[in-house]
Amino acid sequence: MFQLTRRTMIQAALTAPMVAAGRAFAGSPFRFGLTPVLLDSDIALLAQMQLYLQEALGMAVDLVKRRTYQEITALLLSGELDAAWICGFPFVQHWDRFALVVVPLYHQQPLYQSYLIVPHDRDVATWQDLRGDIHAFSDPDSNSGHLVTWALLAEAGETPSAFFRETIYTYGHRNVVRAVASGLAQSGSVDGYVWDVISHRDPDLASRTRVLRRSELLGFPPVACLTMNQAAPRVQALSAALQATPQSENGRKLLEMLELDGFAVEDRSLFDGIAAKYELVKARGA
Amino acid sequence: MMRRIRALASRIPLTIQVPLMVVALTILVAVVISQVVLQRLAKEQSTALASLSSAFMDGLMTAVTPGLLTRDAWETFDALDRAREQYEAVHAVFNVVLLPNGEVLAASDPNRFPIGSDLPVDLKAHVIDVDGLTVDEAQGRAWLTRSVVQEGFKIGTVFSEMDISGLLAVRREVLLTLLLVNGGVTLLFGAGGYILVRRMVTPLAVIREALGHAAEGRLEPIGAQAIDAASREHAGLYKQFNAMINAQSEREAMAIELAKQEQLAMLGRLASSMAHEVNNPLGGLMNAVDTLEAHGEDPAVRSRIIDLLRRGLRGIQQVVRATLVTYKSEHHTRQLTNADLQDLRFMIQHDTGAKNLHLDWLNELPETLALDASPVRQIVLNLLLNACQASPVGGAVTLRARVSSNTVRISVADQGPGLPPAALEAISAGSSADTAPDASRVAPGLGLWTAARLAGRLGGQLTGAAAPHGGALMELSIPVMSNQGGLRAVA
Repeated sequence: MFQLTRRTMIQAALTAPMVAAGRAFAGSPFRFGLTPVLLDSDIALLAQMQLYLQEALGMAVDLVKRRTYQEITALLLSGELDAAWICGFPFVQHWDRFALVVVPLYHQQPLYQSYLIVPHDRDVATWQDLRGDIHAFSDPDSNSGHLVTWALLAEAGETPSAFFRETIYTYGHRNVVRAVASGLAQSGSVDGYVWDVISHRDPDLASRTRVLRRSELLGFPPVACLTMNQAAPRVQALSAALQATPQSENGRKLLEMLELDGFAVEDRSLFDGIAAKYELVKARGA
Repeated sequence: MMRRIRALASRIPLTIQVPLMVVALTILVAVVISQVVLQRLAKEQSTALASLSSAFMDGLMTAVTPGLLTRDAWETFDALDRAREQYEAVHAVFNVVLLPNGEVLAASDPNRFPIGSDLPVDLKAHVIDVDGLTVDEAQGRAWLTRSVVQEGFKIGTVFSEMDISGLLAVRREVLLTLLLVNGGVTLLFGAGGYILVRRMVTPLAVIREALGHAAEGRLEPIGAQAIDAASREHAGLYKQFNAMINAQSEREAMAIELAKQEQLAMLGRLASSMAHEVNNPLGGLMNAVDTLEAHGEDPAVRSRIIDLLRRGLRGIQQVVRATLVTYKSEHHTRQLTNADLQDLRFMIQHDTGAKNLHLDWLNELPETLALDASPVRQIVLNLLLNACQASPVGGAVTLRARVSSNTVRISVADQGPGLPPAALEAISAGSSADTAPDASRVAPGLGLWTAARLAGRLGGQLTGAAAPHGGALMELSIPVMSNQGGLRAVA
């Protein structure tokens, strides 16, 4: 599946900052924030992303990763990041301050789903059967890993704390799958794109869970920036670079690793669905 | 008890005793060594387990403390789950992080220990107040309890179950190995001991066999082949045994030769006395013949002469007959008769006459006895001749012959100086079965040695002692078969 070996990637990741600090790139590096919306802890993926972005942007790139969405959102809001790959939920939470740079294309669409997953051998048919569970969410600021289920319950007049016996946050979609697969949680809310990728790359883990419910299609976690920086050359360069991903060798490798088809400029209305859910839960005071 | 053991042990052959002792000692040593090894192994394993589990627990505590502080079930589980690779080292079955109220915050096996649940009762018993290890060898499990303390406050407990069946299996394997090795060594030592002792006692068996042959009258030296095959020490033993056998053979041959000479001497004496006995009446008979020739026409003279001739000739006839009976070659044994003893009077007539000895003769034997006549006559004749020889001129020689308690008892007494020590030794030597006489010491009494030996062969014995009124008293006693009519008649 991968053209580059893991070792090559790691070497690239380790040498990149040194190169950036040296003769190769002048000026301050591009600071690109990543949330655990991606496959966390995949050093090879990070290395390939950095390799591609530096090559495409012609400047040093710092990939900034934090444990929670909130931390990255805060960094982006404070201007410490040039852009970040965030989730749709923080995007709609800060609708007025964030602007879209590009949205990834999954199955040729800028859309994805949220999955409700349960252990593979659990005999339940509908989400209503999950009452009283210990439920694993990904992150309080995750759309697929929290908001979608939250909204689902809100529509039914429920709240997570009342519907579930206990809820835990695992701060990573992969961790949600691990929690459900291990039995720590009896059900979980997970990014459908991440679960699909895990089912290809780590079928042993994914096969210990099954999808109980798939949500409607929603806007894929976007790459965003502060609205005031939207026209900045660095941000425009990033937009162009990401849109051009399928056109270079390293870009294709990156897409292959991400199991994405590319990046496209989309309208903000793509996230109306998520915004509506946010409005719903806010209205219910959940 | 000890005596019984000793008595029992003395019955077991040396070839078994020694290997048994070796085996017993080896088993004893093996048991002691096995005990020491197993105890040491158990101690080492216990120390290693405590040390390893403690190190494991240190790492685990560091990992779970942040999650425990925030009571974050996922973070705690994630820490436990990421440490899973380290579980192998201590064979951890599960790890549970408990809140101070005993509730499960997270466990490595959430299906078994769900969040918020209590520990099962059987496991609760193993959660100890003091940090440390509890072990249940029967279950092959050990449980480790460690309190997590932050700033003096206990914020939770980490409880681990470890599978120590591997350690116990190692102990079993070591025990099995010890048993096999020690068993093998014991068998080897036992077999080695048996072979070694068997080799060592081989000369004893050879000599025992040779002695057995000697007891049967076959004095056979140990063969050269056996000597060549034996070790130096054993060969020396064989050679000494052979030297002893050779000396014995020579002594026996010499004794036989001496006995023959004695017999010849006795024969000479007998021939001489018989000639004398025949010659004595011959002078009278010749005179009678002359008288008969001169006065034979006188019926009274003729009758007196003829009577004289008849008595004279009868005397000669008796002497000749007695000699014939005693010494004629008899191929078949003949039963002893009263007359056989009576005949002997004539055979010593010369000796008694020459010394003017008084013969006190009381022969109470029945007509026939189930005894071989020839050796009895030889023995008694020998005793009588010796008595005559020992008696002073005009002395008395006494013979008593009777049967009592199914035993023929014949005694001969004289009035001589008594039995010399050599004569007693000769009797003693002749009485000892298959003992060759010491030729140098027994030679003077060789007749007595022969007599004693003959008595022995008849199942009886010859004894010598001092007579009540001085002189020697020789007694011959020979048992007779109880079913003999003659004996019953007498008894």
